[in-house]
Parts: sequence; C-alpha cells; structure tokens
Amino acid sequence: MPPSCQRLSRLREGARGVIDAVPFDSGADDFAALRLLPGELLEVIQVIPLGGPVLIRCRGGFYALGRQLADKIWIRV
Amino acid sequence: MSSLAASCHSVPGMRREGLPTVALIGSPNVGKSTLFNALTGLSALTTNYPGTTVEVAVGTASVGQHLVQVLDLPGTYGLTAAAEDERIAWDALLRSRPDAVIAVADATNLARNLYLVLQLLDLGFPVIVALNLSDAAERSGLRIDARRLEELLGVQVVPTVATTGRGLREIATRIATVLGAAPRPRHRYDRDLEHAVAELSTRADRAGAFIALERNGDAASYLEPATFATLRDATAAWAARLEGSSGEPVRVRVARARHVLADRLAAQVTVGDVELRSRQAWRVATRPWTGIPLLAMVLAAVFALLFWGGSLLAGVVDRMWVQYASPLIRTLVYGAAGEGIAARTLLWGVDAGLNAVLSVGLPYVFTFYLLLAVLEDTGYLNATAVILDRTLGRMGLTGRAAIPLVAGAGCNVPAIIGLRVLRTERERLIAGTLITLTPCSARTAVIFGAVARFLGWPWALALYAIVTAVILGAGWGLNRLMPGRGSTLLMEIFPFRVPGVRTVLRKTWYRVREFAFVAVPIVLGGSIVLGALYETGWMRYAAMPLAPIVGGWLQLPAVAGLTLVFAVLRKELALQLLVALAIAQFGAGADDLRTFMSGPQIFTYALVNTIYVPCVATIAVLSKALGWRRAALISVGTVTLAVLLGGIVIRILQ
Repeated sequence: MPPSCQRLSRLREGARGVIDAVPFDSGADDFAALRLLPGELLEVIQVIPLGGPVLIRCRGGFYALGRQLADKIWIRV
Repeated sequence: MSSLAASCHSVPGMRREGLPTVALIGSPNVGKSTLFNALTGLSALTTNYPGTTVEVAVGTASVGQHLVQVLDLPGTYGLTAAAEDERIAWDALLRSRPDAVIAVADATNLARNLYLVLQLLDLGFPVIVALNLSDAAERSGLRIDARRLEELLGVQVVPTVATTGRGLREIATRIATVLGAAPRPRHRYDRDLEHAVAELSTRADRAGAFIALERNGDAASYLEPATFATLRDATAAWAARLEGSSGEPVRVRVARARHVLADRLAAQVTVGDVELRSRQAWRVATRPWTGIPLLAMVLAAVFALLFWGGSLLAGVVDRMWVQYASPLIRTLVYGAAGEGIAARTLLWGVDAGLNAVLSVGLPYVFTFYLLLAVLEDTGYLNATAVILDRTLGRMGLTGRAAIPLVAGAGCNVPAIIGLRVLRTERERLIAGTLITLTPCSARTAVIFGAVARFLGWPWALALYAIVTAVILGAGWGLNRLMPGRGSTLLMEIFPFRVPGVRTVLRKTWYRVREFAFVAVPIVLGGSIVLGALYETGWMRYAAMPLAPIVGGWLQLPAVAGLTLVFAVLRKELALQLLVALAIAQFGAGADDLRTFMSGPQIFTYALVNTIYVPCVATIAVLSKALGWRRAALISVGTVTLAVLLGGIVIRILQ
C-alpha cells in the first residue's frame, strides 16, 4: 500500500478520498453492485463512535458500513 | 434465452401451471413490497424458496385480460453476489424464467438502480422499469425524463408512487404487452467488452455470454451443457484479455462498465442532484449520547402505547365478546352438543380460545404492527440499525437484526416472520433463538400478574434483568459456538420521511392477517386439547412423569408444574390456569397465589414460564423459518435452560 493509503475505519468525518482496494474475496457483499469499486470517490459523512458503523457517500449512494468491513477497505486520501 | 438450461428446473411448488409469471425485483427499501401488495391485493402468501429458509411471496394479479402470477423476490442490489438472498433472486429468475420482470428502481438514486436494470436486460428478460419514489425525487428537485429513458433502454419505463397507487394501473396494462415478448435492449457498453460479448454470442446468445463471463464459478449450472462446453474455452480466453487490459477480475470489469453506462444514461435523463436530507436529524438519531436516550424514549413510548392502546382495544373487544358473542356461541354449542364434557371441551376452543385471540392477541399485535410500520416508514428503524450495530455485533448479528428483536417484545410470531430481513442463515438462527427468549406481551402479562402483583415491582425488574442477561449471554455464546463468522453491516441509508397513512395501514393489515392465519388455528386447536384434558380430569395424569423435575428440582407445587406444561399452547394461560386449578384444589381464596406458593416459588414460576420455548404458534413459524430440526433444537434448548436456571434461582432465594 502506498503511504497515503488508509483504512476507511481510520478516516474522520468529512474526509474524502478514492477507494484503493475493497475485499472482493470476502464473498457475500456485493461491492460491485453498490459501486464500491477501486477508483471511485468516497466521502465519510459520519463515524458512529465506540466502534459503530461508518456512514459514507459515494456515487452509488449513501451507505452504512460496519467497522470490521470499513477496516478492510483502503482509501487513497 | 435459448442457451439457458431447460425449464425442467422450474421451481417446484412456486409456479402455478398455466399462469404467466411476473417477477418483482429491486433493492431493499425501494417500495417493492408495497407495489407487490397493491398489485396482488389479498391473494399473496409467502412460501419458503425450495430448499432454503429465504421466503418468497407469491400472489396473483389481473392485468388487462390476463391473470398472472407475481413473485416478490428478496430485495437485492445486484445479481452476482454470493449472499443467500441475492443467490435466491438470481436462481428464481433463471430457473422459473418469468414471462416479465418488473424492475423497481429508486428514482432518487437512478444511476445506481439502473445497474440492476442493465443486468436484467443483459440476461435477456422482458423488463418494465417502475420508477418508484418519483414523488420524493420531484420534491428533492430531481426531474427524470421517463420517455427519454425508454428510448435509450428500449424498454417501458413507468413513474410510480407505490404508496399512493400512482402509476399502478399503467404498470398493470403494460405487463400485458410485454408478456413473453422478445426484449430488444439498445444499450451498449465500451468497445472491448462489447467485442468480447459479440464473439461469445456467436456460440450462444447475449445472455449466455454474460452468464459465462460473470459467473465463472457456477455458469455450468445455468447453461445448457452443450452451450457451456462450446463457451468454456472461449470465455476463458476473453476473460483473460479483459482482465489483462483492466488489471481486475472480469466480474468487476463488467460491473464497472455497467456503472459507467448507468451513470451516462442517468445523466442524460435527469436534471438536478440529490442530498441526504435531514442530515442533522440523522446525527441526533445515530450519535450515542443523543441516539441512545432517543431510542430508549421511543421504545418506552412504544411499550406505553402498546399497554395503553392495546389494553383499551382489548377491553372493548372483550366486553363485546362477553356480551354478544359468548352467549350466542354457548347457546349454539349447548343446543347442538348437549351440556356434557364434549360441549364444554368445544367451548374451551370456540369461546375461550377465540376470545383469547381476539381480545388478548390481536389488539396488542395490531397496535404493535401499527407502531412498527410508522417507525419503519419514517426511516427511524434504519437509524436504529446503525446505532445498535456494535452491540448486536458481539452476538454475531448486525444492526439489521434490531427490527425483529424489537418486534419480539410484542409477539414472537411476527418477529420470527421478520427474520427474512437478515442475510445469512447463521444470523437468522441466532436472532431466532434470541427472539424466543424475549418476553412477549403474553409472558409480560404473567410477569406482571404474578411477580409484580404479589411480590412487588423490584422483583419484576429483577426478573427482567435476569432475562436480559440470559439473552445477551445466549447471543454471545451462540456467536462463539456456531461455525462461521458474524457478518458485518453493509446497508443503504435513507433520509427520514413522513410516512403515508395508507401505506402504514395497508402494511399493518397485511401483517395482522399473516399473524391471524398462523395463530388462530393453533390457538383454537390447542385450547380444545387443553379443554379435553381439563374436562376429563386427565390433566392430573399428564403431569405425573414430570413430578421429579417440578417437585424435586424446581420445588414447585405439582399444580404449578402442570400449568407450565400447558402454557406452551398459550403463554398467558399459565396464570389463568394456575388460578383455576388452585381454586379447584385449595378453595376460593387461592386466587391469591401466596396462599399456596412462597415468594421464591412465584418468582421461579414466572421465570421458567418466561424462558422456556414461547408457545406452539412460535414453534410453528420457527420451523417454517428455520426448518423443523432447528426449531426442535431451540425448543429443547430453551426448556433445558429454563429448568436449569429455575432450579438454581430457587435454591439461591430460599
């Protein structure tokens, strides 16, 4: 990973970036249909404290992502 | 779709022979089920998709001159993921091969929703696009040119507002025109992808080419063996070329091309941009320090309204029953069957049993569903899922499970029916177990009527504390013990909306009806069995084998153990039956439980009644939702837990 890459779970509210990698191999979740794909723009709109979900906006729409999932998504800031 | 596997796979038990089939498909929360209910009216029933625990609703609708069968597929964003509900949607489409597909799209997020539409067209289905929530889109300043979209896609596009019924008639008349028609989609992707698809199509057709490219794992099961054989090597070569030039898996490459095209199409027909409105309200609802107190207040209000509204309705129904229905039924039954044991047994069912459903069950269930529909349609439950995700995560669940778990406190039956919103079998099993442990209104009545009344409020609260600890512990333990891993949340979020009165009432009505279909026959039958045992005096013998457990381990009077056994028919009955039997045995003063039971005994009695498997109606829906083996396992598990815990508690208290 290049140094400017961070896990989505580490980003603060208001941060924007470009998706660098999503865990396609993790199986069940349809990142492709939701447009959570490498190269897509993403904005963190809210982080629920105490390990709660991360709310994001991308061109696919507004989503809530569990913290464990956000841990596996890398963002180029 | 000549290259697809033959329809000898048509889904057994779901397809009524002779009727054309129309499938409804769309993302979760776009109003698909509202549209389905409006189209099919009273005919809809849910069945499990063969071989799975995922439920699919089936109904009939008349469109023009035709009667068609309508399938409501599980909400899905796309058709390629491995999640069970998406696989079912995909499977049902390819195996039952509907004669038309209505793709329900969210007009406020057109580009993302066109992804699924394009995917359906690539698979060769005759598609009608229902552009739903078009009122919400207009309100937020979006204008979509449906005619232009029709021209670009080569399919019919109908703006709809499912909640008010706008566009519904048009959908119905359009269905008749596309049934079985060969679709002529006009969309084309980038040159490289189209080149590959064109080459592969020479060996099959466009649909076959997309299946082969996108489903490299299991394409064989959806294509004719001969087609698959001719496609296999060519597909591998083209996939490698596409992967080589893009540097990503071919499935992702195709998905990206679809999004790019969907974006372009949406931009060509849309004016305006959409924001997540009510963002401030969302913050208040989802930040722990404001969200948790708000959630507590909402839940408190729900229970207050439930007890106030429910008991108000229950009182009215009960008075009417006692005044009008009961005397009439008694006259009829005694007239027809004499005044013997048979007539009295029958009255347990048709008088007391029906009264229990109508005045104890339905008013609470109706009130609860009404509140649930309001919370759902405002979007508040969407926010609840976000705030509870972390807590539920420790139990292997995600925020999605918040809804059925909350519903369980009203009645376990609808809560278990609601398990269908969960995405994996593992989650449904864990949540199903936890729901059965959640005290429903019937068990709450016993806790109030026995513990709070005779021992005081602190003891009732202590009982709730024990049950809460049991639920948390069971969830934590199951998550540790069960194979597989807990899933993580990935859910679309929606702005808060003002719910429509009609939709809320309609939704409530459908759910009450579903509940009544399950509960009425079981309560009726159960009450008659119970009546027979009571009236013949055989009840005493039925309890004998249990004496060592009830008397020895739980240290309860035999009569109490008996009522615990029969409360499996109807939980609130435990207390009524206990009082009735006690009066028969000890005389008139026994309606005060303290005359024949000690404090610890009353507490243990209510605790065991709360924890052991809810009631036969719950077991019935549980085996429908999870399979009978698991329903049996949960039942045995909770009985064991209740007995163990009861014995320990009474030893500590005495």
